[in-house]
Amino acid sequence: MNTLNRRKFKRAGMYALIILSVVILAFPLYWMIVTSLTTRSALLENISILPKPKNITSSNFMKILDSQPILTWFGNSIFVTAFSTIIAITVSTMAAYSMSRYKYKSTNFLGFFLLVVRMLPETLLVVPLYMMFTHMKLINNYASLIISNITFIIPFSTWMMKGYFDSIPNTLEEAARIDGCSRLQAVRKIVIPLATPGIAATSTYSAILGWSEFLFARTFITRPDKWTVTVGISSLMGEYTIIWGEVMAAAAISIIPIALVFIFLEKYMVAGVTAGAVKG
Amino acid sequence: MTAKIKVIRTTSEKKNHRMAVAFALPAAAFSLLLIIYPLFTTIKLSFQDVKFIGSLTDDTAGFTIANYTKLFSNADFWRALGRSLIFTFSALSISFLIGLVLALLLNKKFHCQKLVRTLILLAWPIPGVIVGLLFIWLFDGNYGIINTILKSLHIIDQNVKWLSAGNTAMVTVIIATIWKSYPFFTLTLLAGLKGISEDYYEVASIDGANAWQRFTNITLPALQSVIVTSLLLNGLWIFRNYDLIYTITGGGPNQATETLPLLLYNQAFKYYNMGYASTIGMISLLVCSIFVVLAMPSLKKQFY
Repeated sequence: MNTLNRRKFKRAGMYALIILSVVILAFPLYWMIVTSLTTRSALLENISILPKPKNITSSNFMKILDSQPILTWFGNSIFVTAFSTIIAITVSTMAAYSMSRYKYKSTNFLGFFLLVVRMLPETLLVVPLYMMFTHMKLINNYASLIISNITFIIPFSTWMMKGYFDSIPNTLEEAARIDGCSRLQAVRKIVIPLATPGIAATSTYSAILGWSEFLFARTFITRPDKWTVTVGISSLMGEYTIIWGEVMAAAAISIIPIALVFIFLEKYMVAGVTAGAVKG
Repeated sequence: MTAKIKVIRTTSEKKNHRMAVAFALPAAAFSLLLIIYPLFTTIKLSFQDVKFIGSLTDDTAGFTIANYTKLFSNADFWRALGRSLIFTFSALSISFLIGLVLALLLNKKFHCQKLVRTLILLAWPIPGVIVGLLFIWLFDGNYGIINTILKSLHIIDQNVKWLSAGNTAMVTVIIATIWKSYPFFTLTLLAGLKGISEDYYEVASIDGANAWQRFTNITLPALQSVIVTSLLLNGLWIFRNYDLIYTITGGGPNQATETLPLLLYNQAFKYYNMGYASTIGMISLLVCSIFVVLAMPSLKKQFY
């Protein structure tokens, strides 16, 4: 009886801790949504944690979409992120396969090299890259942004993919090759289908990095109509009066794609990190 | 006969090697062109007293250690370095503790587990700039909800102007950074916890070990290399963070939150002192390398 009570007590404590954590940690996002749906006067007069139905409005979204080229920035970000992700994933899947299956000095060195590259600060490289792209006349050209994004995504995604390939037994490929497949056929027909969850997780990770990127975009792209969504939205802070309902509406719009991708692919992410970053 | 087999092996071996290199080549090319080459440019620039306005003001400027002597005698630099270390250490240690507790919680079985996990990790994919904007609004001196909550809990009687004073601005920046960086710890530590076999805990329970003993004797040692790696990666991320601090304070008020990345960026793109900025970059790199060297034994164990 006593132990049963103790167990119940512990269980209640655990649930209390879980609810408390969720309430505190999800609060900033909750507040973003509430603010974006609240009228301007209500925000300045009587804010309360629970929104009152009479103060709810969708006008913030209408106004910000009207006054700022949010959708243009949104489109620019989709273009840059999609291009960066597709190229980076192709390049790093190849490199990861090579690192996982062939144990040569050269491939080992590449792995170690990428690990070191992953540690370099972006602010260190933004100065020489800016000078380089100015010489190449690539300022305000998405090529500069996409190339830099790819370079910073490759080290992360290669290590993550390598973990996935390591978890696929070599014997499956060998069996296919004995049955007459060439190495490339074995890769295409056996390895790639098995690695699909890994590719999904790595792509999610890469897309998050690309979508969030700010430093390079701010430095290499100076024309407002070519800005990405992060640079565009941060420029709203320069306005004389900040209308928070509208700024939060813009912020909410900007995180929709990345939040959706994350929610749907999150289970692969946990598995992907297990296989990649945290190989046992 | 044996000679023939040997020949076949070496040609297939050569073919394999060629294929391995061909597969790895694009990744190597990107890194060499866009990281190693710029890195050497930075090293070179840090020894030249040059500005950059469209092109270098003095391309043939001789090598000098003027940037380094100027940097080391500049109080702003030492203050920025100190701030960077305080900022990194406090944000890193608190987000690690939060991340660890959450990982231990999420490793248990309970109702609505998937929903809870998503809600807890959802801060992770939010861009730093957006996190920055959100926290300016949460900590707004006049209309911010944090002031309202603290007042209703009677912790403060008057609105605090969080971003107008140096210390409170630093606290705000640190809290925002913690919120953005704990999910990475939760994610990696949770993945590490899932890899520990249940058997260890059962045996320990039979032997009469209590929960704390099981945690310190089984969980922590098993997670050791995951902990070191995630601390390193997140620590580097926090140390070199630019977008979040830039959005929230821009380094102000009165340089109170100006960390090394902000100092570097302002020198480079406000005053165009590319040589001097590169010198700051070299010092940042040195600090990062110290972190990496300290974590190296554990990294090697984990990746090879």
